[in-house]
Amino acid sequence: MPADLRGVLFAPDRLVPIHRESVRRFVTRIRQDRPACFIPEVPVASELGLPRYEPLLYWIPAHRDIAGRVWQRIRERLGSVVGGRAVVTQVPAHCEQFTELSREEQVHYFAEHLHAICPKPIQVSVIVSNICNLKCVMCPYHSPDIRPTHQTDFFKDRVWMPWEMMDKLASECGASQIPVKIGNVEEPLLHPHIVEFVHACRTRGVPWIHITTNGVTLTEKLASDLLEAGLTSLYVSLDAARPETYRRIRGSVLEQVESNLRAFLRLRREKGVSCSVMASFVRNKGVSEEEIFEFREKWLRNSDGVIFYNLAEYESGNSVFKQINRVAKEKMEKVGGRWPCLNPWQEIYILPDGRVYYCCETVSKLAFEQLESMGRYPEQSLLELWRGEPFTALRRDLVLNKLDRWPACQKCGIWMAHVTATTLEDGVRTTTNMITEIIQCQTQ
Amino acid sequence: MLPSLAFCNDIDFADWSAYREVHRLLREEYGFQTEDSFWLFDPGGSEMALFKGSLEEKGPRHDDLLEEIARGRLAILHGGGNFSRSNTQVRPSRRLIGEGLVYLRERAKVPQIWTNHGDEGDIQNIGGDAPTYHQGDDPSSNAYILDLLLQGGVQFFWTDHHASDAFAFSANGTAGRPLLVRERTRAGHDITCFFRYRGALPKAPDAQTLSLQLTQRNLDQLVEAGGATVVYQHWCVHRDADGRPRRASSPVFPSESMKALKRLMDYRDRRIVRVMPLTQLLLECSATAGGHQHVR
Repeated sequence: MPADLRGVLFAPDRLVPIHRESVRRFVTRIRQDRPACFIPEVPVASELGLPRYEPLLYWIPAHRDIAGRVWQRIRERLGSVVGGRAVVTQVPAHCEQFTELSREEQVHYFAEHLHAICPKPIQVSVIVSNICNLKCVMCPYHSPDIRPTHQTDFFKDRVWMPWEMMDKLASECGASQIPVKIGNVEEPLLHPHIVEFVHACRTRGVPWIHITTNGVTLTEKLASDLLEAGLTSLYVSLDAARPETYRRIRGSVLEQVESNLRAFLRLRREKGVSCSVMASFVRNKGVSEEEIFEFREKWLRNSDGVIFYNLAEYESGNSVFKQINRVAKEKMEKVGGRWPCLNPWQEIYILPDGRVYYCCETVSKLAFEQLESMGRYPEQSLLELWRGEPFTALRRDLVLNKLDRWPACQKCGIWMAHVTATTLEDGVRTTTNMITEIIQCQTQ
Repeated sequence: MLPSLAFCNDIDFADWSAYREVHRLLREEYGFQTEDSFWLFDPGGSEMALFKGSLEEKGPRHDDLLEEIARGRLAILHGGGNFSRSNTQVRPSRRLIGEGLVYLRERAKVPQIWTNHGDEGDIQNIGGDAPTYHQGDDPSSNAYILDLLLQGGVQFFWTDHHASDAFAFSANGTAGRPLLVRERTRAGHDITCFFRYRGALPKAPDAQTLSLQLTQRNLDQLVEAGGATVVYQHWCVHRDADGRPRRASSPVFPSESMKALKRLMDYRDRRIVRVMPLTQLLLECSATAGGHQHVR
């Protein structure tokens, strides 16, 4: 520390050791005329939603006009410390912020000591089976055209997630208040314990539980049961506004599924429960803009919004999209390449056979490649998995951009998909990334 | 009344030549008489604004615009000015817009139609019975202008909550969705508001999405309902691949939009739909609606 500086260097207890390099850099940058703080960040990834640290270091210069005021603010912040962790993310005004880190420091804060800011997953994706009752043309798992190209046996025999595993997931997610998402490679409403699972999750403390379904079996009875069990979010995959398109793509009857969705919306209203309901549409080849417009007309104001998915081409299980959005391109240019994808800092995927994956791209490879599992469930608890060696190693390797151990990451074409852009025109909010476009009316 | 259609265009991103080209096309290629909107002020110097930041700074096409206003071709006041959040050199005020209205009255005429424009930066917008950021009808605000607009002769208002996904409206308000509704403002004035058909588009409608608005299904609905509609447009706007708006390049209307205009022309030629200027449509509807209009 420069000898001519007078003041206090303060390091509140944030449950993470401060890296020596961070302290060295910080003290070379602080000035006598200005308070400062140090908050570790990873370029772009922090901006996109990487878990955030409170300031780990404060510099309060010995200046009669500054010191008292800044101390007061810091005391106010620290006054809200709960369970050893400061929960306020604001920084005292006029405090200069230093966020720069070397790669080694990024690993230190965001891989080795992540538990200090993110002790549990932000969401758990539960894949309850490998079974679907439709054979949509674009589906990499169940399409009759794509199935012959499968390289693994994952979809060969029917696998249901056993109730014991679901029961444990409900207990763990409930106890840690982790949101749960269901529906990925499978049709979740086919699972015989789906209502029971939703109910168990909600009654044990899960704050939010989502299902993505094709809606074919969403009868009034099932809709009523799910709403009463406490379902909080539902996406219904329609992919068409016209019966002939639906038949061509999904091989079933559009009117029936639309009727099921309308009944769900009616029951929601009658029961007065808050469950967000959205209709989704994959922009398949051969679907006209007119039909997409008709779809929006049908569902934009009659549900809570519509979601459009850009069509992915699957090349050996790698999702390939034609366009990377402009904002993502700008960020890539800014950092000169790749930043760590956020998924391993947010989500954990539990497969019905107990394997553990870490993102949708790993899941999309289920039919094509045997990837390393991040552990075993239920032999390991969710928190053990989250803090275990594979996840820590993955986060470290993503920060260092050394992906030899992670073939799904190496070949991933959607690592930048967390970049979103939002517009609001005439009360219609549109949020886009390279995979989805979500459109919602502000006032229904 | 024969089923009737009028366009209501917001002049955003237009310049003089784009404006001229669109109306030449609509008039000469399709035979549609249409009006358009303009700004009183645009601190950024748009060619479609009479003035820049004050009456002392005429816009680059001031004289041309004034003539178009006097002839009734520019007949819609689009928010009084372009004061969006990204255009903050001059803020809207009662004094500024009041001076503009006096100028219009003395040199040309005050339009009978007002449409809100822009975003939360355009605080002069009218809130009607659902105000959020709007201050144009709030007498306590420095941007209060509603009384000046009414005194100046504005009769019809489009406010933000009157964008519709439904195409056909009832012209006289007796059956179905009325095109005109009466609303009470915070100032206590009852104003007549009209709906515009936007359609379930993710972004505001433009020249490239016109075909999605003028579909055969929509036109047939209008014929069947026997009512009226106002088609909301930004026909001097194209969007890039990321959906960002920009001034329309040539050709302004892509082929699908041209087909849609031809479709409309066909309905007009078969005398099953009238296409008319917005002012005429709203005045006719207002006359036939009589006492059927209601306060929301």
